[in-house]
Amino acid sequence: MLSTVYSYGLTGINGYRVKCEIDINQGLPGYDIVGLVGTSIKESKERVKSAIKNSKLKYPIIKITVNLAPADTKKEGPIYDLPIALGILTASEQVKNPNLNDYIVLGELGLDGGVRKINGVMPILISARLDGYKKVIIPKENCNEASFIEGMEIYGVESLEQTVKFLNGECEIKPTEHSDYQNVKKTKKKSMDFKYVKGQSVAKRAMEIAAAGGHNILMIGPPGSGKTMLAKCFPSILPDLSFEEALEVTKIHSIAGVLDSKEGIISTRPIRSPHHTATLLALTGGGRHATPGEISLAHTGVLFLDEMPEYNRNSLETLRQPLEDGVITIARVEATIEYPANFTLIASMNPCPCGHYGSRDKECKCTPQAIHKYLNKLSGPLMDRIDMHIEVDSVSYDELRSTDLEEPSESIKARVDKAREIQLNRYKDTGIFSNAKMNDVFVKKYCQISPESDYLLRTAFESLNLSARAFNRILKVARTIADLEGSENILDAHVMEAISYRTLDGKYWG
Amino acid sequence: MYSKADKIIIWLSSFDFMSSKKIKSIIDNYNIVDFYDNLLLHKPFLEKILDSDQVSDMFLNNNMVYVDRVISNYNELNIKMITITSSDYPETLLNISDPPTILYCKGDTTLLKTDCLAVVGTRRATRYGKDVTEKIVKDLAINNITIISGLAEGIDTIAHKTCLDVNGKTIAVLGGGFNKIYPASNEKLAQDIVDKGGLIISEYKPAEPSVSYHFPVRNRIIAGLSKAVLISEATEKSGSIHTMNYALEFGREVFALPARINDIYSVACNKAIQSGHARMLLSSKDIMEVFGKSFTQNQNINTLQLTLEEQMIYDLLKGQEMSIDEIIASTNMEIKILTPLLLRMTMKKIINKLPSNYYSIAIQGDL
Repeated sequence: MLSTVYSYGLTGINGYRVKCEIDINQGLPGYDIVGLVGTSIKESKERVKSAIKNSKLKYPIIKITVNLAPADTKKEGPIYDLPIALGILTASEQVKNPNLNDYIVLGELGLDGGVRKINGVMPILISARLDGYKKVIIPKENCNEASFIEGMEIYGVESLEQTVKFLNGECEIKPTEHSDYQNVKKTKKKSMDFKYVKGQSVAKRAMEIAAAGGHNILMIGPPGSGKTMLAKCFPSILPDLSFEEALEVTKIHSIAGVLDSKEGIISTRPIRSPHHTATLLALTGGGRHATPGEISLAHTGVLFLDEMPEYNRNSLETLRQPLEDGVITIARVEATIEYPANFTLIASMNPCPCGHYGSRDKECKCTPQAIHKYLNKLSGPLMDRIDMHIEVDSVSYDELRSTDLEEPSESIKARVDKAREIQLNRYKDTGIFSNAKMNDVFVKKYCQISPESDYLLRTAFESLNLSARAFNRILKVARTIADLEGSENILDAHVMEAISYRTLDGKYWG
Repeated sequence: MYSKADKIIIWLSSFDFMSSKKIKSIIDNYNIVDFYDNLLLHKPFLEKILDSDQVSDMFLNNNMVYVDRVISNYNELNIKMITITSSDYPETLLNISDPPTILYCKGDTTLLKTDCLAVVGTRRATRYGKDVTEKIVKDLAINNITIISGLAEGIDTIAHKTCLDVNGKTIAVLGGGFNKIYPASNEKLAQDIVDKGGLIISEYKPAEPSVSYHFPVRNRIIAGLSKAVLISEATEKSGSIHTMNYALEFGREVFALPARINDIYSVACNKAIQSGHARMLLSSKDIMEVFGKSFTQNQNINTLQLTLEEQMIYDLLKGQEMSIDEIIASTNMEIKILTPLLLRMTMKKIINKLPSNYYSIAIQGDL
């Protein structure tokens, strides 16, 4: 007898429907599974068998054939355990529910018949809703995550036995209540606060601008000058995530399997700080199944690369495309997948291998060649994509011990939010959200400067030995500074300040 | 163009075992042309300074064909050889203890006989060293003093570049052959020097590489060619110390740039002043006096026109270098106002931006 159960699979962040066809027929007892399935699905045979037996149900000792359609797409992961088990039970007439095909079924089985948490529920449900499905059966543990999807009856189940009883009408399961994003307690993971950062006024100001305009930033300074601390404070001044953004981030985190199942949704901007030994694939995403990498996990948030020149040069160069386009395209044998990767890059580095080049009180022991080689690890095109370069200096003991209160993150954030609002209004319906993402056309349109400022910019270029590629960057940063001031036009002072974040260009990268 | 004596020296130096010392001992003891013409007669002398294989090697290759080929090769590369017997050879070098027998030259060789000042110092110049060096070199270059340096990074590069900028004359003394300029980053500068009427010289054959032990030896030429030596900035182990010692040995005037006593990049300068080896340099005039020339200042000093805010910053920085945080603390200015202001002043060259967000007053006027 034949039965069909519907489930879902994932390519990238989009789901597609998988039809699980189960046929049980007279013949030698056996179990065959076809439909371009991966090892974890092949192994489902043992899980399904034990789960059925241990759920006080009957496992038919005849020939069982399972087909997962479409048969030409490679499928992976244990999410088809539950649909296959239900299919076998339906075919052997232990589950009798004429409306079974209205449900989307997802879930991994344990040998005891328990239903376990799976990855990628959020993106799957979003796709299923678009396809018109209204009812889903998912593992109970995934319910928090799924509850943010509107207009679906979501049934969370704990065991196979419970699922069978539910489908046979022997017990009732309440659909999961819809959670409202507005009510999510913004439990900011105690990110550090700028009020604890003494001095560093240049760096703080630069971070404010970076947060307001989505600009990338590079901090250069000797060891122990507080670069890492500044980066850790950065999320505290970033604008809140909108629901759409939150869904998108949650999708990616859900696929990568790093989503906290208690929270269900990611409500704060992620900050990812991969170690410098991270491989290219760890950064960009990939592997056999093309899972999202660090840059995608940092989507809408911050990618912090500490000691940037220590990273493998190849890995760094791969950041160029995502920094420009906001997406990363990964091509693998089994699939070509596009993941969003729209992040703010915060990088830090020492000025030379020993870290004391240009220091006031310690002699730098590096040869000029060594310094050159060190700085050369960052290619011109990559530096080009980093809008602001700042120097971070070590803080004196007096400053450290001073009890003066610094400005708290909250009030900086208020200014950032205001500037963001101006930008959102300006770029309404254009597909971009921040000044940093302006293309040349927008730069021409929105970054008009007065002839006086133009003259200033020209003299700055000559006297500070700036590279030509800095030009657009300076204008974009100037636009953000003007937005922070609430100024319609870009004024001299704005341009000047923007230039000052490019002055290292000539110094270090000639 | 090359006299017979020149050719003989070029021939002699074509043998690897013929060190400049050995060639010099021949020149000192004999008339070089006579020596060559009667080479067989002088075999006993050669046997004294060389071993038998080397002597037989010399007799085997006793012809001028090779020398003519070398000369035409070098002519094509615009390389001129000046031998110690040549009339072009600078007298200043003749009275040092170990003058090079052949100088390989590219550019204007008449510069060798002009008034020269050597400017040497650290490869990692600080802002202070850079500014003062620029200023002094500029003053002297426009007063027709030739600036000699070693084409290394740091002070050397600044000296050469500044000199070219004001159309002055400059000589670079290399520590290796012309074929591979060291450091590679100054290859273009070397070309510029030749193109703009300067001179690069070396005692090494063009194919010879630059090796570390060449540089201290090379410094004797820098010291020897010049009438005075200026040490701009030098750490305790700096190669500039060699140059100073040579200069003292040759009886040249040595100047050192004073700096704050805790300045690690000027330790050697301050020490040289303390020990009396070097004179303290306080103004370009000090050096001009050594050359016995009157000094004309660059007529480019305009009085500063400062706005109120600029004046405030200027007054603040007059006494000391300050970090931007310190400026904020003492002026109570907001960073968003201060940053553009400081950049504007930097661009007007009123103040300098130092590493790690420090600022200082730029050098102005008479020095």
